[in-house]
Amino acid sequence: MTDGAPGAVLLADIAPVLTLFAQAVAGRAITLEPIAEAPERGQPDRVMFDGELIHLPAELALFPVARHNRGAYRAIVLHQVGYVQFGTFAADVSEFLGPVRPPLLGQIFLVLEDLRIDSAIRHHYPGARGDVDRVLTHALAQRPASFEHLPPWRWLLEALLRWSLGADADLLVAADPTGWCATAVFDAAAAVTRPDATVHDTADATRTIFALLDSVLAAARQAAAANGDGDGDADDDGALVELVPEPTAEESTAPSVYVPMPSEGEAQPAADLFDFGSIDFRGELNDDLVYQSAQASSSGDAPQDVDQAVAEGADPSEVVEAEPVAGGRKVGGSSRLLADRTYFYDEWDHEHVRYIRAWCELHEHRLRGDDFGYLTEVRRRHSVLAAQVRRGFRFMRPEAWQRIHRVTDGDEIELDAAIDAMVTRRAGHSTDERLYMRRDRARREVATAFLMDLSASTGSPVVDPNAPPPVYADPESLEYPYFTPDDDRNKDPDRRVIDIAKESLALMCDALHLLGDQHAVYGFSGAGHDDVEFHVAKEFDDEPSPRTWAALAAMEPRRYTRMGPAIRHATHKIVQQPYRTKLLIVVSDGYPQDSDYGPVPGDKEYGLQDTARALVEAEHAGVSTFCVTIDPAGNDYLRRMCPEHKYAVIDDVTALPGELAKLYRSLSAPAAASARPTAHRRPA
Amino acid sequence: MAEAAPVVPSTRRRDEPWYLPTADEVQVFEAAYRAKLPVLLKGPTGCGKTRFVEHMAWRLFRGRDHAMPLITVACHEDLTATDLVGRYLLQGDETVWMDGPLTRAVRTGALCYLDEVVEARKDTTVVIHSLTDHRRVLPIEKTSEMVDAHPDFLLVISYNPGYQSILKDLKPSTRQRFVSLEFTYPEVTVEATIVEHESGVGPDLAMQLALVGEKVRNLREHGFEEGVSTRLLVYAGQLIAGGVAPRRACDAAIVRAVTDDADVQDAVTDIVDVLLP
Repeated sequence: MTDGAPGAVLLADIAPVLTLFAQAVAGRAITLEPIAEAPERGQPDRVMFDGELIHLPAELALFPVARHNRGAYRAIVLHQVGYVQFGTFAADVSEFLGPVRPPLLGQIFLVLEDLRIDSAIRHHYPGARGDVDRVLTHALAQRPASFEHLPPWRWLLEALLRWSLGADADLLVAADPTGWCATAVFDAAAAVTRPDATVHDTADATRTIFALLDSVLAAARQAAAANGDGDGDADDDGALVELVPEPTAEESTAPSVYVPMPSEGEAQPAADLFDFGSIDFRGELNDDLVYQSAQASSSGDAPQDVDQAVAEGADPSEVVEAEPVAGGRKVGGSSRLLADRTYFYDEWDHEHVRYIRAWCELHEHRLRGDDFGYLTEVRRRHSVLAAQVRRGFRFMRPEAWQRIHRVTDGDEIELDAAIDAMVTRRAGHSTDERLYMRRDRARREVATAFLMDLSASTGSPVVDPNAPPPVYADPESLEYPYFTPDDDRNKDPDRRVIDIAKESLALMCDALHLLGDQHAVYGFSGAGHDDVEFHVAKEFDDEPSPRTWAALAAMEPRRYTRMGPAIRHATHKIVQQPYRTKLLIVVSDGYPQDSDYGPVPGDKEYGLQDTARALVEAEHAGVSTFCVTIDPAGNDYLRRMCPEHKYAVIDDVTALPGELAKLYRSLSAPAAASARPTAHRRPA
Repeated sequence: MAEAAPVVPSTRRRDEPWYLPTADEVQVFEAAYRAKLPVLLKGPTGCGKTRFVEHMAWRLFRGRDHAMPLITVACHEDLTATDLVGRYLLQGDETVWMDGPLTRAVRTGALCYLDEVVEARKDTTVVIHSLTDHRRVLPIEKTSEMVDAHPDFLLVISYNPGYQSILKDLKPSTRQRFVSLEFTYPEVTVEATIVEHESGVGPDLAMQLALVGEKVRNLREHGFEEGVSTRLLVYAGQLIAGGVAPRRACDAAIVRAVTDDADVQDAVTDIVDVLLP
């Protein structure tokens, strides 16, 4: 919520658009995340970019006009993405940062690199100059009013920072305590403002300015020595000499401004002196990342993300398969970095009777698998049922071709119409122009999406209710009492709930292809509102193929069941289908739940209400919904989520394939076959 | 009476259609024409496929007195083999045979360009196959004719691999009869040259429009399949050259044209905002 500041803009309100903007500019997947009000350890407390994720203020109220605050968000994103676009992360900075990084060197580098990025933005994005200038001016106004008290070398650093923010160079030069160095510093820094400047120009300018400050510091030391002021407590320069001690014998080759990093537990006066404070919109460039990137690139072991790997010619599926795998099944992990696409969805907060804007971050993944013979195996396992389903669906199939008579344009002349026209013309009347006949393919106007719960609980083994009770051997009669002769080594592994659900969907897809109905198969899971997973096994446009069946087979149990955003996303996909009847069938094994599904952990009501709302939204969008659960306790919550005729509880999971087929027939029955609009259709 | 065939009228251009080659596509096409090999053009919408064919028709037929060197058919899902080959029509008290555009091209020795051919009904492939192998004949079932293709005849088809279902509908038995040329949106400096030439805006503005295209295409997964086409960038440039304010021109020609998704429209508007001076 805004605090009422005029013109304040919430990140949540513009996150969907701003994310798209960031991705367009960067040409890669970028995620935005608000900076927490009370950041925990390890969380950023200021604008930060790690190459994939930009942390931004949850609210901006820098200016009284909302448009300007929105522009400020845009300027921040441009600046952060600029690090990628203009090559900061590609820099090989190790050669001038060295194995031990003097903090002063790093600070000069960061100021100059920010200056270079801002200059590049002004050149490449001329329309953004207004936004950038506005935030620069604001940042300059936030600097301390007075800095004359600083020692000369520190004054020069502050002057450089202010100049990079747009301060008047003439005024700064006039106030220069050294009387000469500010001009030289600005001249060196100006090199990075050229449109074609690279990070290597930043490095060169950094070295130049570092040397200039070194000479200023050396002069200060000499002056302090000449005044006999080496005890370090007389004046500013004396304090500086203490903070920046004379180099040791080992460091004799290093510049005078070299400051060793303090060791653990040691006071850090030097670090404080070198700290400029943060410039809000520039944030904090993760120089560790720059450093790691440089080191990795120099060692040929660059950090690999999906985009980068694919750009280098790798098969995206192989990149995805690089996830940690345990026991032949993928283990859950954050899906964000591997997402093909990212979407934001509102969530219904029933307690406050309002939507939380763009709360859920849904990451869509394309499933890929290697079990290309999956359908054959399913058909073999369910041979009788597969034949029944296919036969049943075959009767629902409309006639392949229909002759459309008396149309204005067609393949053949309609003889009856031609004769009628001839007679009419001879009689002196005007004739009908619909003299042709054409053949149209009739088709069912049905599109169905199956949305399957991929929560961890679907990995539970299925107990066959008809199985005979296990027979235990008498341990006394065994040579090795800890092993039974009929141990499980030669048995098939336990079949899980998800295995049966997948087989059900495979049979359905097989039959629906025969029927000609458009259909898609999705799975969902996730952990937390910012990591909702949406897995695509088959899209509406996909023709059934071994690749499709392998994708279906690749569905595996993952994490939690945040059902609301998954239903909203599936609805978003179905409504785009140009068919009269749209169905969404949700197959789950339990109530909606997630690690943060509601303000109170473990609160089932919040998730139920959000899911119910998502189902209502789907109905309002013209999508008929139906929930199937294989949870025996499903009645308890499903009756609160949807009307009675909109759900089914299947007690025996092994009955799912047959029940799903029956269900589909009844749901799609109202969707009578229809051809395109016709002029006249002759009765059969 | 209905039109003979619901197709785009034949085109004839005497002036050179401007085309900026991005690789060796002109040389490959000319070689294919000399060898009488049919050509398949793949590429997203608005990337210059049709302009390329017009340009090649002009190159191959310049200096020759040919009434219609290029016949273009915009295929759609209701287009049948009858529409391509021809049909009997009622004229007065009699039925007369009317050649379709493909038959006309085969008889007169023109380039026949079937744009988005896989949109057409499957029966069209029957007539295409016999024209694209060594036989080079067009069977006309209704007149019991086998029309030998004119030596100057060449079949050119195009399709858009951005649409998955279409890609899969073009069967290997059809695809493998064609020399294939792949088109894509040109790189940004080339696209800027095209926008500048076609629209009449200055080079700086043309470059910024090309950059808009480049950035917007990074969003092609979000609500629209292919991003903004070169054609739309040219439209924007033409509006600007015609006196429309640049942002308004981009709004009309690009933002509203590429998507109906409000968020994507806003994001594209932001891209235009920051890129245009």
